[in-house]
Amino acid sequence: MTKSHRPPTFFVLGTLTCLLAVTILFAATFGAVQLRPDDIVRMTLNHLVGAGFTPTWRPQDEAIFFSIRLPRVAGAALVGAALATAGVLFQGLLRNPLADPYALGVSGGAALGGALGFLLSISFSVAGFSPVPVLAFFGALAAMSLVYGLAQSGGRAPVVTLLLAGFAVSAIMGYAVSFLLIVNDRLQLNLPRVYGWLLGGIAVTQWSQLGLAVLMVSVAVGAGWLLRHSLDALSLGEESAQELGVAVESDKRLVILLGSLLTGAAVALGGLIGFVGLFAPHVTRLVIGPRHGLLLPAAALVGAAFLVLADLLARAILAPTEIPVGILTALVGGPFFLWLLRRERREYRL
Amino acid sequence: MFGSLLRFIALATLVILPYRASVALAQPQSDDFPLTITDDSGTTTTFAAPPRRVVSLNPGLTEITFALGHGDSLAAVDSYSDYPPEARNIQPRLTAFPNPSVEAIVALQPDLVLTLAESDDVVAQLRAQGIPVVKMFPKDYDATIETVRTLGRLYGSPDAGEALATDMSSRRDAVVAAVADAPRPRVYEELDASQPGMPFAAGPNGFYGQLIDLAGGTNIFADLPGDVGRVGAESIVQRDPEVIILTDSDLPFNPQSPDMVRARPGWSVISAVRNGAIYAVPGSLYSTPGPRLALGLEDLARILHPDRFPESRVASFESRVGSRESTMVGERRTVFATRDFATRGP
Repeated sequence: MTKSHRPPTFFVLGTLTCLLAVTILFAATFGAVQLRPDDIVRMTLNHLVGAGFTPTWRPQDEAIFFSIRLPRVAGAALVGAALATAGVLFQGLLRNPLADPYALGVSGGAALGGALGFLLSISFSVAGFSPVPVLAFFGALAAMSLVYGLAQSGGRAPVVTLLLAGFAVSAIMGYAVSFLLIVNDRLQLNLPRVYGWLLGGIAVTQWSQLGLAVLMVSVAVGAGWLLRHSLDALSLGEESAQELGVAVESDKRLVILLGSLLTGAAVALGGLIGFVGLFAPHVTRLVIGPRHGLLLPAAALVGAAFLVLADLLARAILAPTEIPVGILTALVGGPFFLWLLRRERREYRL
Repeated sequence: MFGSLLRFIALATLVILPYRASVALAQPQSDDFPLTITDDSGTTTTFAAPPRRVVSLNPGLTEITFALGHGDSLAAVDSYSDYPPEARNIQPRLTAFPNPSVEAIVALQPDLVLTLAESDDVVAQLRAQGIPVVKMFPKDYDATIETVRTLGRLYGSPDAGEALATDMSSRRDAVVAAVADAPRPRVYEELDASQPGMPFAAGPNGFYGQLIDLAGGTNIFADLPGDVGRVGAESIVQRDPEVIILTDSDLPFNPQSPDMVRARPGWSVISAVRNGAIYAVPGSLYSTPGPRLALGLEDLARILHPDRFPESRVASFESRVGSRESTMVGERRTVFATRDFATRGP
């Protein structure tokens, strides 16, 4: 822990906040439809402070910007922050560099829930969410509870058992999705949709969807930050953490609970977007080091900026065609991550 | 975990990936048998006599078989074949996805298997058992007409095939003539909105896109790279369609209604929404490669150009197929899914 080599906290967070702000502005300016930046500024001022500029733009430009593009950019930022934070929490807890937000069975549980949302002929709406995201959210929570329940014995849930149970539950539920798709009579209709959904895509279409999610993500990120000392101690191993006075098992439960809320919210807003939750924590750690007090908020900002950017590409590069954002997070984030890994050349530690 | 799931599903999709699809037609040699047919995979098969035990692995091919008056030669159909209603009574009903059971088909001892998009491996296995396989994979209205003609000759009813083909093409010509000099409204045709922010839309070609052109509309997504594409809501609002066609109104999941479209955030500025020009249509008529494509075409033309067609949409359905319901119950067909994949890929 060579503290002196690290840049000061306020500098890191200030820079990253600016980076996120610039990315959001950039992503809000561009998209499938080309809007003039000065028009955007004027229509925003009209909206916010009633500036009263005479519209030099068409009414649909306003609809595109305020009703379609902005909620989606905000959703991408939120999902990115949630996945990155969950990634930090799980990597810290499980002390495994390959842990991501989906490590404890979530991908399988969310996929199963989402697939049921597609296959069941049900129709309802909760806070602007259709059955697929709602069931995916609960599928994620259910899978994680199941994994924790299975891994726990005598009040302890060893990390290795958690990981293995997570892998098995995820595989079982994932293949249950395949089974459902194969036996379902309307299979060929659902397959492309379920597959497209599994690749992820920011599905925020209404501001109302963001309210609940903002609350959930900010509470979980804040609570995660309160656990920073436990997470730092856990990186030394559970026994050492115990000796340092960390209530290992109860903190573990808390981390898993927060991680599931974050991942569940992310899944509801964006399907199963891969790689962000793995990539953002590692990139951040490579640059600013492993201390969780700084790592947690910094990784959240990095994840948010990265996903906003990836979603911009998903919307814009093949417009009017939409690309599932999960493809871009891996194609764009992967090489950058590898480049950073090579460049740092120092021993990497969680 | 996540990866293996995707891998499996990607693998499954390979099964229904696109085929080389030139519509190679057998040139009429003689009305008499032996008859040589060249199918859409370029394979030539000679039939000594009209087939009498036929397995159809696609709803469109089942429908054509019935329309030609040979429904009673069907020994088995795929589980999606549900039109005409008699088709639902045919047993056994084979699951055609991801692959039909070769064993089950061989056990039926058919003298013809009709396939649309089944894998080459399955076709080769069936042929190795000495079972004639004819692959018919029409991609548009004209190719469907030719499929009707080819199957008419194959079933030994060239006149019925010719009559049905002529009916389809003359009705197409009538629609085209009726709308020829009419203004062509901008059309957005939605195929699925499971993710409402990025729905699937009709692209330039394929059944959906072609019907828009023939019916006298301008497809706002004529620039998509494939027959079907996932598009962003931004682009839909910007391209400001004058008519919105919902072929996803009769889907078993996430069915969309004009009210739901009106309520989508940001959509209220669209001309079609402001003018109430949002129409729910029976999706299967717009995409099943069979004689009912003509109904889909006429339905769409009536929506786009009501002034050119005295008969109302509902009256038109009732006069041709009994009741509106009988066309509405048709589920979406294999064709949609295979085309969907053919253009998007995994």
